[in-house]
Amino acid sequence: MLEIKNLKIEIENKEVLKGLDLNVKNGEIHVLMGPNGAGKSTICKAIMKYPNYKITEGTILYNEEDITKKSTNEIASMGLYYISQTPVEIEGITNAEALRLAMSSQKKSVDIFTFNKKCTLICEKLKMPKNFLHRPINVGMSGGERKKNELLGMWLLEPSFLLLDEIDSGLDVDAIKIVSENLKEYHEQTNASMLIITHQQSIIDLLKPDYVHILKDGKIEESGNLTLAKKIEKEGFLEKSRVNIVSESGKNE
Amino acid sequence: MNKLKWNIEELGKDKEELELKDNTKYIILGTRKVKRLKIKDNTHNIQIVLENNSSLQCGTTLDIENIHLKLEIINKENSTLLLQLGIKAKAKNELIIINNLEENNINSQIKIRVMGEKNSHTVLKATGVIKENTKKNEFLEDMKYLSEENIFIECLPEILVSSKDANVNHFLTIGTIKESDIFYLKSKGIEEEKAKTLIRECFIKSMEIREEG
Ligand SMILES: Nc1ncnc2c1ncn2[C@@H]1O[C@H](COP(=O)(O)OP(=O)(O)OP(=O)(O)O)[C@@H](O)[C@H]1O
Ligand SMILES: [Mg+2]
Repeated sequence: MLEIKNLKIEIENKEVLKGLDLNVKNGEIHVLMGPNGAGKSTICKAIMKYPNYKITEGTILYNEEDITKKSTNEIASMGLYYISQTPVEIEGITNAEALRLAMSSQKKSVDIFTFNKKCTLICEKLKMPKNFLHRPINVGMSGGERKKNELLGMWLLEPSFLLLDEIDSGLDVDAIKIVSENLKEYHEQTNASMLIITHQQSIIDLLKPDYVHILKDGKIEESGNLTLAKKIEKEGFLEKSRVNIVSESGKNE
Repeated sequence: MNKLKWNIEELGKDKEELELKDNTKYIILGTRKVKRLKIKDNTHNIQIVLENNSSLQCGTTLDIENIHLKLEIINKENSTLLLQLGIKAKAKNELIIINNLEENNINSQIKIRVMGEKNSHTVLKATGVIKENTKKNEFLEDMKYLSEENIFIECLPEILVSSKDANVNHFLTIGTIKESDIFYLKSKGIEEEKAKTLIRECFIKSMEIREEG
């Protein structure tokens, strides 16, 4: 489904991704962890063609089609949906205005009656007031409210692949539960694939990913299953180098 | 003094749409709400008079093309004004708005957003005048325009305060279409040109009165 081969990304003349390989198959959930600054957000933004992120090498395939040179809106229309670590505020444009235009751009029916009915149901699911729909995009919303607001878009646009950059950060326990349950339900209904970036165990426990990867210094350092996430939670990212130092000094003595 | 002979029109209660006519003085008595403004001819001399205890809320988008407008507002005792204009300018335009706070206890707010079509040229001069010896007046002027290539917009805010007992604020902001906003909209599947159009249209439309609910 999504296949990244030897991807190298440069931002402002600095190489941030240094040959990344990742393969997410249809319906799979992958979790990506790693220390701050490792390049996790860069992966999502590179896939979505964030301005000034330069692909210097490698390819990104989506459903076997090369999307390395496609534009952001073309990629979105192919079914990829990205929720940023820090969703932007856009003054003047309401969620409803943007989402209806997005739906029509993606050739989805936007008749106002169905749209309203759908939105009412989704807002209930997300435990979000319905008037959010008519508020300017993310303006004056708390961190948690923004993430829910972005999930509203997911339910309406029905993507087949989700790129979720720290969707759980800044959420209180109840909100994490609501968000995870929405993602779980969406996954069950659509079999959408997911690439989830997180620093927290709770969303992992609830979503039970198929794979967990550790990104360090622009490359995947280690891949595994749920136990890898558990190990990271207990021991942190520095663990491997620490073990090396201990065993080396042990040998020397 | 004013040598013009004004046509005097009292603004009716049901008049939610108003077509401005040249050389006309609109009198506001009571509470009025205007949701659409139109301008017919090219040259305009218009006065709006808010009588004692009256209130006018006017929030609208306004398309202008080769317009020369002079709008003078007179706020009397205890009156309230909220004038929000989202201006979409074509060709060459000059707008002069003079807002006079002549008596006491007035709350007068003017918000203007301006956007131009390619190769348009718009000058907007907004002046607030707060008369001597008046008390407890609130005045706000908030202007913002979108700066884009090949579009000329000039906003000239001016406030003349002769009273010591007034709360006066004014803002002038120059906006641009942000790359991050375009990216956000594109990441929902919207084409770049459509995204830009939506940003422009909504910038202007945000001045309309939105009913809650
Ligand atoms: N616009 C930019 N200009 C310069 N450097 C950048 C830019 N964006 C990102 N970087 C750099 O790229 C590196 C990777 O950043 P990225 O945001 O991908 O990290 P991350 O793994 O998501 O970290 P975090 O866990 O803190 O969110 C960092 O060193 C960062 O400083
Ligand atoms: Mg990040």
